[in-house]
Amino acid sequence: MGRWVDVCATTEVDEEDLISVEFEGHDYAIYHDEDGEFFATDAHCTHEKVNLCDGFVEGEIIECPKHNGRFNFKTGEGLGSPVCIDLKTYPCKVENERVFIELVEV
Amino acid sequence: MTHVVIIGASLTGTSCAQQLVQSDSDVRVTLISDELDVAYDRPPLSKSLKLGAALPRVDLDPQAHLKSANITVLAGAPAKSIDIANKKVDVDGNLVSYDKLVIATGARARTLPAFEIAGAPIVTLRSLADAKIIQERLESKTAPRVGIVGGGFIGLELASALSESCQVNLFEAQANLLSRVLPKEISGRVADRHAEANVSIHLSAEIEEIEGDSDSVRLTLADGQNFEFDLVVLGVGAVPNDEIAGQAGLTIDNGIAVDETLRAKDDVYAGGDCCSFPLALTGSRVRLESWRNAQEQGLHIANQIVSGEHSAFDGMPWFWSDQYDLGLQMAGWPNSNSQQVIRDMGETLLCFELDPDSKLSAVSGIGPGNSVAKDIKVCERLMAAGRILSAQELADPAVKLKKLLKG
Ligand SMILES: Cc1cc2nc3c(=O)[nH]c(=O)nc-3n(C[C@H](O)[C@H](O)[C@H](O)COP(=O)(O)OP(=O)(O)OC[C@H]3O[C@@H](n4cnc5c(N)ncnc54)[C@H](O)[C@@H]3O)c2cc1C
Ligand code: FES
Repeated sequence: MGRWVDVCATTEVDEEDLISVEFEGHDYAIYHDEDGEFFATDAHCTHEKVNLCDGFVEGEIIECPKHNGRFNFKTGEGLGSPVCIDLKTYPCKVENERVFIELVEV
Repeated sequence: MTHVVIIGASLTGTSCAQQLVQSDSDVRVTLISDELDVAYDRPPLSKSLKLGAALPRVDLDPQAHLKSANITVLAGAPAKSIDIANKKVDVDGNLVSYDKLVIATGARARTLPAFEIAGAPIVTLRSLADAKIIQERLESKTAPRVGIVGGGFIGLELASALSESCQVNLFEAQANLLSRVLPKEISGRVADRHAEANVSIHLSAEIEEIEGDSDSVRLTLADGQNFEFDLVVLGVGAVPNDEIAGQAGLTIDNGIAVDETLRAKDDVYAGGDCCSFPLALTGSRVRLESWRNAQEQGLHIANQIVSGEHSAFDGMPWFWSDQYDLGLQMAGWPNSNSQQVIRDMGETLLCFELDPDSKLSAVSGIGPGNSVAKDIKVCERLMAAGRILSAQELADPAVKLKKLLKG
């Protein structure tokens, strides 16, 4: 079992957008899709570690601000060159207008 | 089994080779490079070159696809000539036959005859080997003095990377930096940032005299100012490596001329910095020196070879530059009679090129880090969709660009 961590308010993330939040020295990307659902992944692109928070959200795709690498932020799947490693995803839920992500200790 | 020979193992050649071996088990690839070091990225060379640190080598093949069983990499092996009729490449004296040929020979740094002084520390920056020469030379001095000739992106990025450890003077012949590619509002911010970092930028600089020996280089400007440098770096553009293609009878027109599918002839493709191609957006023939273009053209060629079907390349011109904490991005292709519209959001600034028919033809932006990336991407979609836009809305920071996309 992981622990659920409160990372931000729902209002902090625009629809079809994302923000980057830091927790215990690690950056997480929190996405708000057009259907109002929230998702979480690692914040850094797997290509050259650029923070995805300046990237572009369209549907379920996040496009990296640097070399335009694309990931499905719901599954973490990398969608082709220059990205060759998938993005790690985290379970995400909303309670009382707050967004929580589940972190599993290893 | 199809044998694909790729000449050039940089971004275009590497992305093509990786895509080929990942998507088709029935292809064999020979990747030929005249450089000993292959598959490294060039943009970090000017942005991240530091003294007393490791060379900024970023691997273009972190997953080691180039080590696949069906790829042979020939490094340090220049392709000397191409025999199109017999489908063979002369690689340093050995004939290699191909079914499909991909020319990805890129470009090399331009030099200027007046700066060709034997033994003097005058260099250009294109390869990791060049970066090493620059680094070693400057590390051997206690208070290194660097002269950069040319205020293009590579010169400016290098000035920003070296500004902490060296005294940097940069000479630009034009009255504004980057005047051919950026509006004054943006290039002015670039100039201010360099001034803040104590980089001396000399605009409208006319270099009258150049003298050098193994120790130093002396420059005299038309206005009488004198400078002495431990190293001079020329940043005066690049020329396409199209000689072997021209000798093989392929058409040369500002690089190797290819059609909209990136074919120079049947079974011969060219992509990246070495080729000129008809831009999908405007139909005009262009040659780009841009990371994304090289990467996408490499993939496009590979996809056509794998599928056996030809399709037009429809990539969007896009370029970025990083200097200090500032990130610049540009997309599209400006039309000569477009109107400039500025959106000033304080720290970030966007400049739109709006055509007479109220469509966006190009956009550029500057801001901290990657802060302009989102807006530039929205603009790419606005251009691709051919949206009709108003100058007022574009200029108004309160109007979200993404909203304009939704119509
Ligand atoms: C310092 C620097 C900074 C840059 N920064 C940016 C940036 O910030 N943003 C951006 O968009 N773009 C940038 N670029 C441009 C980008 O790197 C190029 O567009 C890209 O490298 C082009 O890739 P390419 O494979 O087509 O050609 P190249 O990278 O030029 O590679 C061609 C390769 O082919 C080899 N070759 C040539 N002839 C032969 C032959 N006969 N036989 C064998 N091998 C041969 C060459 O030696 C070279 O290794 C930068 C370039 C440089 C040099
Ligand atoms: S850092 Fe994200 S695509 Fe390169």
